Formats: sequence, structure tokens, C-alpha cells
Amino acid sequence: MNHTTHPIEREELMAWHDGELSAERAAGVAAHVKVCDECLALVEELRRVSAQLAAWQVEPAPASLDARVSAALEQTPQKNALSSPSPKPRYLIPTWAWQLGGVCALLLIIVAISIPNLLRSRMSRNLASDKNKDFEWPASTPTASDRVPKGGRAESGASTFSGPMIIRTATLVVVAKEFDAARSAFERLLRQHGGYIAQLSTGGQSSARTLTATLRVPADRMDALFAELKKIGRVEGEGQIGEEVTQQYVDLVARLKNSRVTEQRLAQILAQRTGKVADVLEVEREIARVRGEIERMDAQRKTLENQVAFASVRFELREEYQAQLDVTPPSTATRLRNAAVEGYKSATENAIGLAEFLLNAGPTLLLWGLIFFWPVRTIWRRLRRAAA
Amino acid sequence: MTTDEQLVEEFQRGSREAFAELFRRYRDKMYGFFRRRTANPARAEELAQETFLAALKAAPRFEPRALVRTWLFGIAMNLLLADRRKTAGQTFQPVHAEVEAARAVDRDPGAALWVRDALTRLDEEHREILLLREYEQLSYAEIAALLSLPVNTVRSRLFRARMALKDLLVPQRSPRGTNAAVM
Repeated sequence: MNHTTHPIEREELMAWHDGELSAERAAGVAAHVKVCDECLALVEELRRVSAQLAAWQVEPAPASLDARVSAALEQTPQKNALSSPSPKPRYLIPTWAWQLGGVCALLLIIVAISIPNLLRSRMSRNLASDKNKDFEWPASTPTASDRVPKGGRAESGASTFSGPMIIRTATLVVVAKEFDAARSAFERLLRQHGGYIAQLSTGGQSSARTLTATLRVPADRMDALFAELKKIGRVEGEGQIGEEVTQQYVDLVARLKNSRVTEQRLAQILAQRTGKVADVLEVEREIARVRGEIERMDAQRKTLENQVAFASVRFELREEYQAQLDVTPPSTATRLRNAAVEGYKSATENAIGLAEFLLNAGPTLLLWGLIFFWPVRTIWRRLRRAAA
Repeated sequence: MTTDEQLVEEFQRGSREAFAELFRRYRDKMYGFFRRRTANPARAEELAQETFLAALKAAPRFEPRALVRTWLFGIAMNLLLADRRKTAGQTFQPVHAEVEAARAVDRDPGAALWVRDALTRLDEEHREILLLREYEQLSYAEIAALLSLPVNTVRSRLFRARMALKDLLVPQRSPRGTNAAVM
């Protein structure tokens, strides 16, 4: 049979033989079979095969099969099904509604988890902005050292500082191509701005030198110096911290003032002494103690003033790495050994990385997998069934 | 006559007799299903029992969307696959030896043995579809649902299986001439 040009496919003929065609199509095929010997022959073959297969009959099921099933059926309480809710009402809510409900519940859980976080971050933002409202930032004085709290410093008349006491610390990491030129520029800038080097160290090889320095610069010049230092090369990192010590300073100055008054009064007592020698010695000891306190507090005050007056900048200058032509390349054995070591390290790193990834992401992937497995499986099966 | 689906509904409402009737209708079919697919009659009986016990347990949750027949054969198929996994392919025993032994003493091996022998020579995927169609009398759609295959795939595989079987069954009519009356 030429089944490329034949009007009835052979499989369709088989479907007709099996009673699997629609009535209309079956009538068409039946009419064709009557006039087509080839198709008739095929149908006869199919019938013959079915008849041959029918020759294999199995014996009826043994009576022992009934025993266990009957026993299990006897154990099924007849009233149980009656008293328990009939299965039908369970399907009053269709399965898709359950699935939709499940997805909605999942979304609700996600929203419930994420909204408090959003609120928290918004609240902290609001708190930060409320806090900022307590301060008045003069538009004409952009530097942080000139920031004055609204009602902050009126009572600190005893001190020599009228503004807020802020110790400023900054960090700057700069990478420069020309290390020597950059170093000269850095030193020149430091001189220009009236700063000095508190600590300096250099290191590195000839092609990748580094300079690490702690600079002290007048607080009001710090921003300018910082901006110019950034121009020396490519900035790799920067940071600034401002620590307010106004309260500490005011407290220190007040205690210093009180101690000085105490010292004066003790000196007056000593000048007008009328008591016993023991009392005089006691007063002198007290004067010595108060004097020591005054010295210590004065030193603290000076240190604080110095820290406020001079900002501290940790400056790091790195030379941009430039590969050098190595005139004496390592021997083949060394290179092979290095390659082996690097390979081993790389393999270990990869294995650890993979383990880290699995430990990190594994539980999350498993969770989402468990959540989505059943819905996806159900949808997939439905799609396949629909396609069939 | 009460349909299978009505029987299950009656059982869900509490009628044991309904399930007993369902059991009577399907006991031989289920036994036949397993008997043709397992080498051991005792194992076939056990599996048929397990099928009915599983159906008894699951009947309260049966949804009338599917035919009871498909549902029962679905349970049976799952149990069969589980059993095959456990026994690792010791199921469909080749019967060539039996056929050859019968022919050696110039005795007709019998039509059933010829058929079994021919069936063992088919691919697993073709054989299962052919068995479900010829012996369990399932429709293409039911087979497709049972094996999770598209209906068109079932149809084409069934056709190929029948054509292959036709060729495999020819020798019994031709070579020795003694087996011509098998049908």
C-alpha cells in the first residue's frame, strides 16, 4: 500500500478497526474499506493478530484472592463512610482554587516578611531626617568643622572653642602611575596646607611601591587638602569620620575651672594659716593633689583641642603595578612546580567555593523547589494531557 | 446495570456490597493483568490483592472525573512498576526454551506459547501498549493516561507493535508445517 498517496492512513485504519474513530470518520473509512482491497487486507491482518493474541488466555483468579480482600472489606466500618463527610463536598472547591489559594498564601507570606523590613528602613530614614532637623546647617559654611548645633554651645564660654568640637579622621587610598612624582606632589601639598607627617612608612618592590602616612593638617584646611590629594592619582578608597567631643570637652573645662578655684581657696587657707603644723601639712598635700589633677586635665584639654584643631588623615599611596620584563626567568622545574602548586590551590579553592555555594544557596533552592514542585508538576501534567 | 462509577459512589456512601460487586467485576481482569506480566502466579495473586486493598483505601477519595476502570488499572500499573523495580526485570520471562523443548519432541507448543514467545520479542514500550489494548481492552485515551503518553504516540506504537507481532507470528504457520493449525 502506498501510504503517502493513499487516502486512509494505515494507523487510522487500525483505529477504525479498534473503534476509536468518530462516527462520521468511521463511516468514511468503512466505505473506503469496501472498495479498497489493500485496506481490507490490512484490516484482515489486524484481526488475525488480535485473534492469535486471544489464544493466550490465563486461568481465572484463584479463590484465595477473595479472602484477604473480603477480610479488609469487612474491617471497613460501614457507618464510617456515612458518618464521615461525604467526599463530594470536598470537591465543591475545585482543585485549581486550592492551587490559586496556595499561591496567594505564598505571596502573602512574602509580603508579610518584606513589609516590616521596608517599614523599618523607612522609619530609620525618618528618624535620621528628624535628627538632622535639630541642626541648622549654614549654607555659607559647607565644611563639617563649622557645623553648629542650634542650641548647642552657648554655655561653653569657658573654652577657647566656640563651635562644636569635632575630631575629624579621614582615610584615602590613591594609586598613581608615577610614584616619585606623586610622592613629591603629596609632600608639596602637605606643606602648602600647613600640615605635617605624624608617621610615614614606605614599602613594596621596585615595580609596586607603597607609601603609608598619617598626616596632621589644620581642620579647616583638611577638605582642601583631601580634594587635592585625590587628584594625585586614581582614588581606590576613601572615608571620613567625625567624632563629636563637645560634651567631653565642656565637662573637662568645667572640672578644670572648679579645681583651679579649689586650688586658690587652699592657697588662701595656707596664706592665712593659724592652725597646727599637721593641719598645714594636710592643706599642702591637698594642694599638691589638686595641682596634679589640674595638670592632668589641662593636658587632656590640650590634647582634645589639638585633635580638633588638626584633622588626622591616613594617606596611602600605591604605585600602579607594571609588569617588568624578567631577565632571568625561573627554571622549567620551578615553573612546573609553581604551576602544580597553583593548580592544586585553584582546585582546592574551586572545591571550597562549590561547597560554599551549595551550603549558601542549597537550603534556599531546596525551599523554592519544594514550594514549586507540585504546582509545576500538576500544570505540566495538565498541559501534556491537553496536548494528548 | 449499575456502572462502576455508581458502585464507587455507593461505597463512598457506606455500602460495602458496592465494593464487593466492583471486586467481582474486576477480580479476574486484575489477576489476568498481573498474570500476563509476572512469571509467578502466586506473585500475580498477591499483586491483584494489593491492588484491591489499595483501591479500598483510596476509594473514599476517588473523584468521578476519571473512569473507575482507568483508576484501577492505574493502581495496578503503579504496583507492577514498583514490583519490577524490586525484582529488577525478572518479570516477563522468555519462553523460547519451552517452545524449543516442545518442538524438539515434535509436539505442537500450543498457540498460547507461540504468542507469549512472540510477545517477549517485542520492545517493552510496544509490548505494554499492545497488552493493555488486546487483553485489558483499554481505549487509546485510557492507555495514554495510564502511561502518561500522548494519544498519537500510543496509536503509532500500537500499530508498530501489531505489525511486528504479525511478522513474529508467521513462523508458526510456515517452517515445519506442523504448526499450521494453531489458530
